[in-house]
Amino acid sequence: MLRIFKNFFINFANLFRKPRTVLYPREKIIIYEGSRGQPRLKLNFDTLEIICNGCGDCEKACPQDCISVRKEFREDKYYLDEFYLNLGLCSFCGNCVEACKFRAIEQSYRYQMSEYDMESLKMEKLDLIKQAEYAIRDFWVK
Amino acid sequence: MLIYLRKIGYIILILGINLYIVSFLNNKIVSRIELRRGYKGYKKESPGFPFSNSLKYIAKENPFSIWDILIFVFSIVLWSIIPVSFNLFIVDSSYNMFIALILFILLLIFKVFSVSYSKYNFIISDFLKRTAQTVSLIIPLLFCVLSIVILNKSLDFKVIVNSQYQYWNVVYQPIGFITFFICILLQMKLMNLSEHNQFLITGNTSKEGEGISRMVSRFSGYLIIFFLIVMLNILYLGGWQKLYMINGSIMTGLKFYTILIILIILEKSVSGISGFNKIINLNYKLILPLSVINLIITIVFFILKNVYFII
Repeated sequence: MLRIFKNFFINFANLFRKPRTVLYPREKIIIYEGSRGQPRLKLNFDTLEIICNGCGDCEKACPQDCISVRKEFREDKYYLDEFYLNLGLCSFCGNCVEACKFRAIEQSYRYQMSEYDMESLKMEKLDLIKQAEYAIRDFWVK
Repeated sequence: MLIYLRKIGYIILILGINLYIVSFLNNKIVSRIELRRGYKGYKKESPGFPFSNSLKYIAKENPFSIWDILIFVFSIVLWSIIPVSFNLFIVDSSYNMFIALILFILLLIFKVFSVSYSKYNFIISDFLKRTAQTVSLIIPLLFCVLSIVILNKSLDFKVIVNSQYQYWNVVYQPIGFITFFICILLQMKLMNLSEHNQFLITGNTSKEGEGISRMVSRFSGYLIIFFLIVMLNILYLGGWQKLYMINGSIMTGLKFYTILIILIILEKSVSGISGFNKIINLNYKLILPLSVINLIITIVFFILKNVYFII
């Protein structure tokens, strides 16, 4: 009997609370800090070059096999030649970010990524660098 | 003749407007309790959703049986006898309540028939279970009404309301009031108006499938709940008696909506009572004994007052 009264007052108070659900296309979702969006390649701000040297650790760590990396040897050093990411397969697990020793990969806050064909979901090195603007969380906050 | 036509018009108008408001309120309150928005639209568009939902029911092709027509007719005819306000009734008889209760029981029986008739297997399914549920709810309700009739010595709604000019009947019969209230709550659970009780599959009185028959079922479900709330108002809460300066009709409306909102919230709060056996158990172990105790106390007081002249 007491439980019924307790439930009644909780339900009555819920009438005056703000609803938790959002009308998605009309209202933007508030993204919480640390949420996992699309991966992006980071740049070194001093030299404006890609930090990644193409070691391939992320490729090994990826459970979905959606990353493929090619490196090249030039002037006694390894450089990143090609970086392919298939977003159609990516599960946004974040293993690539954890595996990277140089912290060259980061997950941005981008979440609206639907496309009309699968080919446009395959991203190259330049596409991944261009995602820099989505790294700021407040960009998507309402 | 014109007066009757005007009265019929008023009654249908009041029923229609209240049905629209209540179906909107029901959806909105249930969704807000669950911290959802409800009716998926924005503030401007949402009042139009009950209308569009009714169009959705009509658009679906589904054959309806003779029981649906009977339910529709009886659920409207019921309102010719029960007075919404002090002059809004068509049949003025001193046995008002008796006729209203018979119509109500007939309506429930038709509803059970309509629900039991399945489109898919063409036989009457789960008829006994459904009948047991409805009967178990009707018996305590009738006991409550009987004790009120003994108290006021009349079967006329007008006399019962007028006898409450000083004190409402809740003061004399609190147990009866609680029993009646729980009966309405369980009836509301059986009608499944909030459409979220998925566990109550066997024995509920909501129609399967989509189409006109389902719309009629929901329509009659709402009208049965309206009828019970108006009965509660008339029997226990003073009906259309005016309170201080507030008009009688306004008081009826206020009481109606207050009870309805409390019922909708309570229906969501009592989520444990779902399923055939629990409702039957609750009926025969709690509500029926309460109503019998109430009736016995009333009869004892009646005999002491009128036969032995002690009180």
